[in-house]
Amino acid sequence: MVAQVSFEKENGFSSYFNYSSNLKVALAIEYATKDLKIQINDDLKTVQFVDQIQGQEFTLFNANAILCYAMNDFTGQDSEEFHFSESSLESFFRQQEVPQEHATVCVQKTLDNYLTSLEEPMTSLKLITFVNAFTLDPEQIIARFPTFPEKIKNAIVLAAKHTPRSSKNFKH
Amino acid sequence: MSDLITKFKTLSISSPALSREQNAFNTQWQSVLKSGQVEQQLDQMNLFLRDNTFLVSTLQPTETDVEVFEAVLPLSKQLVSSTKDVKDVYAKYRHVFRWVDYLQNLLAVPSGDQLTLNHDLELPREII
Repeated sequence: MVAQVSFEKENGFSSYFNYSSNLKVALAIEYATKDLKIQINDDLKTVQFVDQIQGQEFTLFNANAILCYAMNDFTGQDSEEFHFSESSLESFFRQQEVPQEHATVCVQKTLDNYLTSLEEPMTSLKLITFVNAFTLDPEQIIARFPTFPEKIKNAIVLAAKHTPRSSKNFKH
Repeated sequence: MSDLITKFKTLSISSPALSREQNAFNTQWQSVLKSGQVEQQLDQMNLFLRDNTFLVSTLQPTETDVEVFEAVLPLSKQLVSSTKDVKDVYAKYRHVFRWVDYLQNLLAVPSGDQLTLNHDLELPREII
């Protein structure tokens, strides 16, 4: 059985949310363990991962969980980094207007404390933190890391292809 | 650590070793909780709890159940108290309310803080 994954195409959420979710899904495809075959399902309009496990449907709707599952890496979820990444960075994505100055400070804090390198091998937590920071302030991330690993570059291209364009607060 | 987590740890409930799929469910609900999305994901939670007894698809509650329960309890009380169409809310969130009811009794939440449910309310049959 080949697992199916879909991207966020609804415009009900902020473009930050759409882009970050889609980049995580794209990274899940790039970094999936060898035993997991993933196909893109273009018919669905929202993030979803569906597989059959022992004859039962297994579904995830959260992009972080999809990325961790694809990599089979659940380490660091009790860490300060995971908490910061979720409650300080990701919580911005549900707001229609992101306070850019506050977001920039949070991304600076991320670079100082957590995202100190993008060297392979990557962990799911590092990728989640990267996506959240990159979505909020891509210029600051590119200034620190002028070259991304190949898999991240591929994922950025794939996410851009599947993310609806919006004239509002969309920087990618 | 919250009082409810402390209380949960005193109960003799062992933490099972989680499978890859259960770990993913755990990440999913922790992510929803930490990014402040519990209210927005209540429909998804109800759907999930239709097919699973607990949030990590375990046979007994985990710390994630208790952590999410802390956020869902006030939301559930608000949902029930702020509508005239209680039957509609019960029908829509029946699986969440079943889970809340189990946990509030397990954790001996004081009766004044509990979600009060009318167990005699006749609900329409659920169409799956």
